Amino acid sequence: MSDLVLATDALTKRYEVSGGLFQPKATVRALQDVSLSLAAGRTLAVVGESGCGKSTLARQIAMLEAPTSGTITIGGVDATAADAAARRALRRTVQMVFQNPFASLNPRKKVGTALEEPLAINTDLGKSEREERGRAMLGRVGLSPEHYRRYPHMFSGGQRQRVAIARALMLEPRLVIADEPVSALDVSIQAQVLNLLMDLQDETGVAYVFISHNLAVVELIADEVIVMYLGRVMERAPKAELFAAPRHPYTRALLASTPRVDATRGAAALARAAASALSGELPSPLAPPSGCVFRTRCPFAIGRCAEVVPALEPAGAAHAAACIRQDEIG
Amino acid sequence: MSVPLLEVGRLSVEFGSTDMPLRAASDVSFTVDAGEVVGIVGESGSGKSVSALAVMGLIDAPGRVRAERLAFAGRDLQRMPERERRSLLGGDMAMIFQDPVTSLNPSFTVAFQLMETIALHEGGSRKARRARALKLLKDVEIPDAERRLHAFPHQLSGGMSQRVMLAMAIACNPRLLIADEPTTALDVTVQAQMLALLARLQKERGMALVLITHDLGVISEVAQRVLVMYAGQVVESASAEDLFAQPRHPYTEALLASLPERNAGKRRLASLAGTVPGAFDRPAGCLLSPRCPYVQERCRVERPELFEVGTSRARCFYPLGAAPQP
Repeated sequence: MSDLVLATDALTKRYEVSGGLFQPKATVRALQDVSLSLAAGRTLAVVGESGCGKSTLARQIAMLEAPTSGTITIGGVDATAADAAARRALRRTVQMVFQNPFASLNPRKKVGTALEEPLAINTDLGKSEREERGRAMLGRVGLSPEHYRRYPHMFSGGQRQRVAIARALMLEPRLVIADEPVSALDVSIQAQVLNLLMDLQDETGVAYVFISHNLAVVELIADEVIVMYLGRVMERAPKAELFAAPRHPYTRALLASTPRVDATRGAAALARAAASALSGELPSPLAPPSGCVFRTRCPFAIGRCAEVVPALEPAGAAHAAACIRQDEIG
Repeated sequence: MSVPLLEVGRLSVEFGSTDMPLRAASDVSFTVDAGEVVGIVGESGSGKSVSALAVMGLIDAPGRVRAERLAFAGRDLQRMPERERRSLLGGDMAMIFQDPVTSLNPSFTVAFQLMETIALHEGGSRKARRARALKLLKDVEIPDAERRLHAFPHQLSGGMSQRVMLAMAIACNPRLLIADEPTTALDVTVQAQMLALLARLQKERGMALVLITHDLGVISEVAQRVLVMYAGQVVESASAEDLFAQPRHPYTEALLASLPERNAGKRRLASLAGTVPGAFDRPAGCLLSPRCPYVQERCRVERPELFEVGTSRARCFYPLGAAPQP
């Protein structure tokens, strides 16, 4: 299919880490068999808690790291098999926006320089053309022309995130990976930046991989959602289906533990949260549980969960969950 | 009428030079009754943490704390000898912080740090203190507590460290616990556990809880009364029900409206234009006036007080759903 901007197949990434002094090396399975696809102009949200592999996934897709196995196809080209020149061309089409706008902008570079740099590296545009495009982009992200010659420290967090978004869009990428782009922002600023991201998508048809732990934000911005836990995809579904009828126990727990303003308040809400709260914490990725990685915290776990690794089983047109008991507990 | 557990009247906190002070909090007034859960909500820089630190007496020079009234259980904290005030901390008044990992001393075991707190306030034999420490860890639902006693902070996860912090805070049965963003650094499933634990301990021990957070969802689940802060001021004070049903201050309304869950089905979020004014470019009138959708001429020149509006209080001349202030 030609309008697929991104597809991954059985993407796996392992890191070797020191097991300690005089100990053999240990392996962290950061990503295990992740398959996904994303069409132009759509937003795929990747949800999960810390350590679930969502940022590792971002680094593979952005070609900042090479996966251990599996393939990444960007705009129909296999990025894992491409040679250096082809990879460089592909990199232009994939850009990233990071979580912390205080760390992702070079404090010694003026905003204008930061915006022009991708053009200077990747295109043969002249100085004045680069500046023209930079200034135009600044306007599109809601900043004014006088900001062009300012340094990042002169901006607030929300404004810096706008600069980071502008920089990511300078090369007119087909895919932007946004790794927790609003997590560091206050709620009123968060709303402004989310609106901006959605406006820019409408204008340019860019596709987003939107990584977040905040389900309320995901519910707003996503078209499709994948839920990850300990490096594996637990559930994949169109947004509406995921929020209305989650199939995987982990997705349910995530939804139930998210505090919401309009839910029942006070004691009742807490009792509900406590009842649905998962016991325990994320197991060490160095020694993931056998079988289903979620079974140690799952309220529905049975003996068989320790034996088989559940595959993503279809539960609808575009809905799939990796749980052997999903039909029983539904 | 009984005396509130904590009274704060016109508290202000300033930093920097006296002629150009940076006002981190100004004119902050509130009370906390025994056994009550009060939520303080606001964005970064709104003065919520600094107000809490001032109450605890943890603002060091050159920071300046001034208050017309600052009393705990009827005792004036400002007139009290320094030693006495210090002994309240960790005893009757305790506080936990956002980042549990940096709040614990990395060089000592959990048992050492817990027993140190107990020794300081209550004393007792080593054996008795050790038993207390173990019981506290069980109270905060740390699995395998026996083994965790000997753990160093780096061996604990974030959620576990926050539980240890909480165990230290409740070691001496405080009557007031201030929790400053206690769940912000935690994952959402662990956050749910932590909130349930805080609520249980609060109820069992009848302790008052001041919960500082930027997360309105957390506030709505836990708090009975809510203070909303903006640019160093309390802009609204109301019961949790009233606040979420009928916000009186435009800022509160905007905060609620910008929540993604209040925008279900809409393509765009309602958002407040502009940003919080910096410390030195505060407007002359109401601090929200440059961003307020309901702004009137009066708002630009005159600073509003925290007026009574029905059962709530709001720092606004034109409170929502009520008659304007005379």
